[in-house]
Amino acid sequence: MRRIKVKCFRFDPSHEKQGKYKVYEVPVEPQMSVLDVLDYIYENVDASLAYPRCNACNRGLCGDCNLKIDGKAQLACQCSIESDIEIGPVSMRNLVRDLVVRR
Amino acid sequence: LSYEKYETDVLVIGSGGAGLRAAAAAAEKDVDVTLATKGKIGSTGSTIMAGEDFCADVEVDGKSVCDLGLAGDPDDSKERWFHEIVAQGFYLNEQNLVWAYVQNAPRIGKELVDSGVVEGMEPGSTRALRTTGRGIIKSLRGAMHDVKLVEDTMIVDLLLSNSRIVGAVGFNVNDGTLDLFKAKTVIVATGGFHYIYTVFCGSRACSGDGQSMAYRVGAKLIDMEMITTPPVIVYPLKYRGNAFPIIINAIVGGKGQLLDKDGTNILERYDPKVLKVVASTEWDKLFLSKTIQNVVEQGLGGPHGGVFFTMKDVPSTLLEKAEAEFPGLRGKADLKEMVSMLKKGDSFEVAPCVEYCEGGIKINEKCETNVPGLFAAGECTGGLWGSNRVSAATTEMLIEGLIAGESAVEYCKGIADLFVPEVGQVDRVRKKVFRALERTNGVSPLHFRKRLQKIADECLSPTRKGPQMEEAIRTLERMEKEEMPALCVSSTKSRSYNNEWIEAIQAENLLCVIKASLKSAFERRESRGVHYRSDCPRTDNAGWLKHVVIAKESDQMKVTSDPVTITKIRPPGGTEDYEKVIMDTIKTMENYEKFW
Repeated sequence: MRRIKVKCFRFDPSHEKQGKYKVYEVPVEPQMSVLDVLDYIYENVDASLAYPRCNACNRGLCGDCNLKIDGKAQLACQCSIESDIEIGPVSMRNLVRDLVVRR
Repeated sequence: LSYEKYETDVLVIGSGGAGLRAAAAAAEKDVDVTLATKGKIGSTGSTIMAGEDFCADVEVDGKSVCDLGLAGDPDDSKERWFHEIVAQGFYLNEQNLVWAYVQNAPRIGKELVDSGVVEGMEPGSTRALRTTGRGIIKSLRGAMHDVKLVEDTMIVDLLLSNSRIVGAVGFNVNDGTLDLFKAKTVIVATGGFHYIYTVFCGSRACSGDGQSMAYRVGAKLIDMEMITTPPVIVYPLKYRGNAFPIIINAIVGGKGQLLDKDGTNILERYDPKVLKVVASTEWDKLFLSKTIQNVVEQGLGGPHGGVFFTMKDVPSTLLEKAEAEFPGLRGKADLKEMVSMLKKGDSFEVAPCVEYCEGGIKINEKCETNVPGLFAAGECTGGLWGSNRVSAATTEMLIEGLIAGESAVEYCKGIADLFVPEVGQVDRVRKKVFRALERTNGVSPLHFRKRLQKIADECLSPTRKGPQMEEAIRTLERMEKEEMPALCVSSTKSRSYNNEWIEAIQAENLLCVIKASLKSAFERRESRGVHYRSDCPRTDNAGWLKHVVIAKESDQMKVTSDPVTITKIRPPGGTEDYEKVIMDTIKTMENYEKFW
């Protein structure tokens, strides 16, 4: 299985001054979404990652997983992953933690 | 520790169609209404996913459809619809609830037509009004301006005083703080329990919170063994959980195929006429799952535990016609992708996955539970559909929401003041919430959940097996006693949107509904509707025309039974082979062919 590098923004404003990117190596298969990759990281690599997980509809309908993916705001569940990517919160304003924004 | 405090007449939990309709109904009567949801208003839960956003329908009897000025069927009637729901629910339906459903459906239909979210009829149907889940939500948003909305707040427990509901405690997922809600009455509208499985057609948000918190304050859960599991995509990953294949198959008249790993059509042995009727109704959900599981258990399934859905032999003109009739198919990227995959002759691996939970909190026709002050609406309730849902759940959520809202207001009138919860209750909830966060080592909530899901995948499948369920119940009881108190959030102690912590809090709800479901399925020593047991393969009307009831008694989960409420149709007697009952019922439906 192919492995890619996922650069993921990490920041806990409650006790950190600024955020940083952390790189995860993830195996990917064809027709996998960015949300699938985040689920993979959470379940297999690093459960401390905060990303909009618990209510996600996985259909591009609820809008919860709107993230900045390679610099562009898009829904993680609708975005296919092919090669190395960078994932950040959709905005720094109202950041709760890591990739989660109060909206 | 301080709490954010809310005082309200009516507290509604959940913001899908049932919750919003309940809040709207109550707010209209000039009482204070607060609505708490674990996510965002309107986008949390399974409502928005109805019909995969291109063909959600709301059903109304054909005659009343004519009265709405749409193309219905003047020869249809509420009585006829009632009869179909009860006969195809295999007579386990609470008939008072079914009557309330068919009676109130026209009112709900009219509301939706009036708010402009109905786009005519679904092609070929004289009952189904075309709308979308998001359309339904939109029609209710306007009524929310008088409702206090509390988002990102998961209700953890209900509060009691003198055995009646006086409020609830909520957990804010964004900052880990607790909210104290004092309320005269509470309406639970939290949806199904899809999340007990690894793959599900529904929202992750649906983790049985409402059923479980109601159970903890003494509410009865009924028919928890009844779970509808249509074939749903398990691969490719990106479309996992999507019910698109069965919907598109219905649209093309059941012409799609299900192939095993060797390319053999697994439905070959069935009469094409039966397959056509099945495909174009809710029946495909019951009918196909058992066949698929059988094929997979014979080792003829695909690498992800399913079989392959394809339309490679269907003329592409049929798919083009579908796109013309269902413009939604061209509107959304994933739907477009899936249609083009089918056009190319590609397949999806599909397996039986939960789509709807027939069972849930026991209610009467006023949506009252057996706990004073507690009402429930929508998929979290049980009884309406008996052992097989064959009409629209969207109609259900709106009707029950409306009734629950109105009943809660009536109830409020008899309550003069807000009561104070019994001493120690709030503190116990706080301790429960923080226990897993404060521990330094223990069981991973994430692994705990995955093991629960594995048990549900294996034992609450379309074909159930008595001895396997019995063993699973013992495993669950051990996990509940030994592991649940030892759950530990270890990856981070952050209180801000901590997924592991959220899972730790939800764990008891998941465990509660799986256990309730398994205990009910084990207790029901027969096969009926969506509940099929290989060790009890007969439908036994003499012995089992009754609800299996789950309720808490001195801290134990007790299994008892309640009679079915019969108001109009007398159920048949005797016992009969399950397969024969199913085939005979489908054959009677062919008489109704003109409807489909």
